[in-house]
Amino acid sequence: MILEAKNVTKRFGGLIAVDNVSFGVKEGEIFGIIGPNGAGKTTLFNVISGFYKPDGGRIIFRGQDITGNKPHKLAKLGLTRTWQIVKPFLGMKVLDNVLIPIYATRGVVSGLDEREAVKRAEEILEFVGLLHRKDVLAEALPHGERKRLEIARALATEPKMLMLDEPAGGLTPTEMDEVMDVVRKVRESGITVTIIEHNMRVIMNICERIMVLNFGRKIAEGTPEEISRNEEVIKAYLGERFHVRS
Amino acid sequence: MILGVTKEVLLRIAKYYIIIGLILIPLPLAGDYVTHVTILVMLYAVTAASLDILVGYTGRLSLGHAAFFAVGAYTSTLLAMNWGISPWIGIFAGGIMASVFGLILGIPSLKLRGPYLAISTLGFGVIVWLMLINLDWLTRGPLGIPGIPPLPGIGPLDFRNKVTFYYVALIFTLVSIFLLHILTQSRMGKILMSIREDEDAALSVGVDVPLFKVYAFLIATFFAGISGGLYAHYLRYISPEISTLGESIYILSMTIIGGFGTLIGPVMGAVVLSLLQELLRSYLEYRYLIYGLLIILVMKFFPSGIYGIIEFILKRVRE
Repeated sequence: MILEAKNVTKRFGGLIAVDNVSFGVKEGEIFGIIGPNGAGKTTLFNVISGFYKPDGGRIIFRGQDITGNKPHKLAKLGLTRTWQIVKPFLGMKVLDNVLIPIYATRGVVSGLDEREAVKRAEEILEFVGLLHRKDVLAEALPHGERKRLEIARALATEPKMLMLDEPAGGLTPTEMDEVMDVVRKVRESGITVTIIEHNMRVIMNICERIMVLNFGRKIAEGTPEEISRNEEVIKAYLGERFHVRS
Repeated sequence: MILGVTKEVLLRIAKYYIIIGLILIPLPLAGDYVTHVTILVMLYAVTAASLDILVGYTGRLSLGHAAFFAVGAYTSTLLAMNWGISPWIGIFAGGIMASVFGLILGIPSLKLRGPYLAISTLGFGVIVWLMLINLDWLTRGPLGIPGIPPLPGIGPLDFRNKVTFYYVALIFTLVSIFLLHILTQSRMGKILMSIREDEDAALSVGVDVPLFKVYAFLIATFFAGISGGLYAHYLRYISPEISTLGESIYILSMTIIGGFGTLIGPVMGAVVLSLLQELLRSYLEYRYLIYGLLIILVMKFFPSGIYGIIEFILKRVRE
């Protein structure tokens, strides 16, 4: 297991957003997290990535207890997340957007030689298909490209595990396919992926295993086939007539 | 290579500063009055540019920058008058002391954003002003400190002379703004900008946001402190008046009207506002009204300030 969450709980006042959730992500897999709106998926992400402190439970990443670590430390340890509502550095060039994580994780004073850093940033932009846009300001990118920039920027921290929060949200089917190709390529390059996604076509196609949350609780975990046959999942989320498409 | 700034970039930027320096060499020929005003403009320009590191590059609004200018001025003055420490050293000590005060403000305000940060910096500025007024035994209170020793002469150079002092101020200004310019082009500058653009995004890709915010405070306050020291040994009289909220807003107006986040804009802002102040000498009581109006107009119609207007015109001309 590259990541293990044990009995993670997060409360907001009287509301229990994440309720005693445990799960593990295997090295090299694509692990999906699904559930209705308000099920606690993003809250769980925020807890794992260090933006929220959990009220209970432990998080182990590569054998190390990372519970309560600051987000920037986790990024340096190889655990990087993206945002559901993308947060590009709008007033900066696309290339600079990807250089920031390289400076931040490898060192501002020492670190990579500038030429090496730029070369690495360009490789990553090439990887997500944005190299031709490197000199424009991020604010000039349309939504689909911003989604890919978000992934590029996270990749530039050289993560061991990438946590994607709805990378296909709000995209057209073509753009969605582009993003999914990128996600598959990320996994092929040896990076473990955890993904929150609403689009069933996407999640059922690319995930090895899926966890389902409902009202902050884990109600199922298994392969896409198992999940799509699970009575409770169907009732809570999928709807009566959902079938796996190949 | 310094912080990711290549030698070519360094030389290219240095070239501009050398050219501007050369152009400004004959300025004292225009007479004592012009020289005097220019010296003050230059000290304000460095202060406004240093504030831009906080406001324009890191996105941290500060309404108390004059306090750091004053801390530098008082530190160097008191060191010289009480312990006979050479102002050449005292001015640097003033910069460092201003940075210490910058830490005192910067660390507790790390988590504050927007109006909350603005209010806390404003409050800090007022605290410094009240201290300068009330610590009579140290600062002589509202009377201020007259008879501050000038910069000690070097060989035949006498810095009581405006023209000689002008060249000290010129070198100081060019070097300071050059250093800040390099900073903005460096890795550090880009990291600061990423904090301005989105703190959470910066955190999530590994940027130690609190640490770099503290760096921004240290750097911005250091240059304000040094400017304050030079100011004290130039005018040879200081009073708590240099640390008022009005002064802080005056400096912030230069940064905003000049165009924040451009570094050179605030320098232009310092020139324009200082000239305006000279022209409107007889209507001095209306000055904040005018600055306020200017800020509103600039923010509404030209958020990138004077710098943006000039850039816009140059672009049109080229086309």
